[in-house]
Amino acid sequence: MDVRSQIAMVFHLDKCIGCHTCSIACKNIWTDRKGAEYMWWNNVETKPGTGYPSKWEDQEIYKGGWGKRNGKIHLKGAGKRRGLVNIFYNPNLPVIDDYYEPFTYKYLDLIESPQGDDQPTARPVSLITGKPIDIKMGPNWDDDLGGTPDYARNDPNMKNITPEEQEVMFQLEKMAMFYLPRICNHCLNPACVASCPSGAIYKRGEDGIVLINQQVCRAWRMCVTACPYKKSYFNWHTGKSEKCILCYPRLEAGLAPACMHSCVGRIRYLGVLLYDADRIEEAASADDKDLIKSQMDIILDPFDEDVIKAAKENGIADSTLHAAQASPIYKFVKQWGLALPLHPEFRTLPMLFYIPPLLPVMASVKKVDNTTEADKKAPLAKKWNNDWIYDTSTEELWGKLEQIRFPLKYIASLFSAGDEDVIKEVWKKLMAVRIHRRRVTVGDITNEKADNTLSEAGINAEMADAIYALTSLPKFEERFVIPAAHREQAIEMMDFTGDTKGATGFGFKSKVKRGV
Amino acid sequence: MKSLFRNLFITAVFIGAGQLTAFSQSGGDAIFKANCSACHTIGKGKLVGPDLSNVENRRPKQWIVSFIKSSQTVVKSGDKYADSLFKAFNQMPMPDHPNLTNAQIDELLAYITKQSSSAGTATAITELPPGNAETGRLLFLGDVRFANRGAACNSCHNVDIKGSLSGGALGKDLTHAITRLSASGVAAIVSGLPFPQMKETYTAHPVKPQEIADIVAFLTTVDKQAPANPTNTVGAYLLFGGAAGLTILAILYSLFWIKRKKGPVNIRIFNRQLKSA
Repeated sequence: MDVRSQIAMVFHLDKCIGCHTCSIACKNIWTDRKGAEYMWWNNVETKPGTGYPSKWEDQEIYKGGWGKRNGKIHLKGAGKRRGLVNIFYNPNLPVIDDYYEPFTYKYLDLIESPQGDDQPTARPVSLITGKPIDIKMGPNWDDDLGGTPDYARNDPNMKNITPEEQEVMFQLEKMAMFYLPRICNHCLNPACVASCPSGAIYKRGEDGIVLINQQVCRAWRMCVTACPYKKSYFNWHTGKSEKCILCYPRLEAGLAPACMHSCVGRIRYLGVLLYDADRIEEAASADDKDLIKSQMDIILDPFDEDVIKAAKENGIADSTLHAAQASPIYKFVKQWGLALPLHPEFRTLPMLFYIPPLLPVMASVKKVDNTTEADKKAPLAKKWNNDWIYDTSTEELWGKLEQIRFPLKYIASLFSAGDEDVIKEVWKKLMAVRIHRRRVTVGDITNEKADNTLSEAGINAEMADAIYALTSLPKFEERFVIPAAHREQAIEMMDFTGDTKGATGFGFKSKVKRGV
Repeated sequence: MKSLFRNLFITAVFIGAGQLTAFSQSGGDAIFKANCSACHTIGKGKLVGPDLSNVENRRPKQWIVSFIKSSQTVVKSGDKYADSLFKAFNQMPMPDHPNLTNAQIDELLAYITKQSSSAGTATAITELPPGNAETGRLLFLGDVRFANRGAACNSCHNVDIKGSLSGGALGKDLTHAITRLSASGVAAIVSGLPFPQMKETYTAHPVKPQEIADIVAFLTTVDKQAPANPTNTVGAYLLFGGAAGLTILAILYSLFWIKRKKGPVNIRIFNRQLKSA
């Protein structure tokens, strides 16, 4: 058992309101530079939709992530042989138009134009060439289902959904959507690290953050292809690749990453997970249907005596172990089994988990006879000949799982490699918590019914209360349990601090010259 | 402080010595050897350029001075004598000598006048040992290295022979160099280095007399064998051969990467979008 610690995350999708504040916080801090304008280390997508870059989930196009052959995993688009053959020409790279060509407007033209017959306009100019452009798209062009025929209908997750089911999804009255905020997953089995010919990408030992060394990067761009989530970006100005750094300078100072700190819906949780590094390959090589289970299996119980002993032998600090025990991630992912990795079939073992959105049925569409109502109206009044109504009165408060607005298959294709039972189980728990809390706070639900749903979901009332508390009422310190970084110990592993003793502070700035 | 004085003294000595040598080299003899003898003799007949004996009797001094400083300026100014001279000597332009001062030119002319009266004492032509054309070919093409590691001739010059890659286009085509310049003229150029680019290239890596003889022997055979008007097909070969090679490579690459991602995934949407004119 090789116990290591990992900073992991949970995003609660039922709480996301799609405001993009996280993206803006990240952009302002990290990617507001030349060459990085098009990068959104954090982006928020509307689902169904093609996302950013367009159709990133379709590995037939981008060849990202791991494939499995003869029980062994291999990189789909990079790796030793394929990487060498394609090293000077990588055939699967996204182009700038797959992301979007970044632009701004010539605002100064509005106030500096000379007097003329026409009102001055601010033309859009490319941030790359500086020349006027026709804007083709943006990083969230399909936000809130905009341009559905082009974007939402082409969502790669629609692959296994029948045309009839798709028609139902996009009926105006039944249309539903949710938001999917994405950052680097800081995977346990990162394809970007495995693909890099220069060895520039590494996973930090102390907290598992995946970083690109800007001094070593040689712009082969294999990581851009290899990352199935397309979260490694090429900076065309510096000629190096860049990616989300999980705001490690902030984490080391005990602050939450900027995207999480600024999150309006407070959907984001961050904390330590302990995992068994010996079993990574085994977990990543599991069959598609066992992938989630195998990933959950290598996450270790931070209260287990053996785990604690092995962790200490590996040099994991007590403070980190305490953080692991208080971690909201461990609760959501392991104890309650509510959070799932995004696209586990990419086999990178992502360490960012999502609580799938419940999208409860709040209303239905019914056919009614409106003639008597219409006859009552004044002769001049407009008489609608529409005999459908949007009926908000449901028998059950939230309807049943079977009535859910999205095909189960769609959510399963996102979060469980197509296994619908996994999603169903999570949904049952989420629904049970709601029904239980309705009983407690409003009291219009019988004890019998509430207890039945709880036991059907496999949780008890205490657990439901705890889930409710961490979902709806968490304080800052409960959402973000950040372990001390112990930078001084990390430095002592590399250098002898005595060497620099007296080199700073009071005294001479430069060495005294002696001898000839 | 002591070492400072010592350094100053040494520097002074060196500067003084440098001026002394400069002085000793500025005599007419030295100026002639350094700048003229590659192409001109005094009383020994024409080489690359005309025999310079009694040159002051032929042309006014002012004309000679401006011709030495920049011959092509005089030729282009429409001076008939200069033009006929240029044509008579194979249109081989005489290099400019902007660094020679008027005083140095005076000294040079005085030297030439003095040598002209005792005709033939200043011999510019060094007798060459017998040359081997085959060795010359290897040296010219760079298959064998010059003893002093100078650059091979075909880095800059071309000759019209079969079975070898074409040489460079920086220098003149040397196929009929012997007809144009005579064997002794070619030898004088290689040893005297009158042209700035050759001077740059070979001053630190002088070509040995035996090697010069070999190259002259090689050029003589080339001169005899090659047709009078060499057809320069090198450019055409390069162009069409290159284009054909490029096409073949492009086909091979496009076959190898036939499954590559072609264009942006939303290309159909973009094509449909309205564009400003």
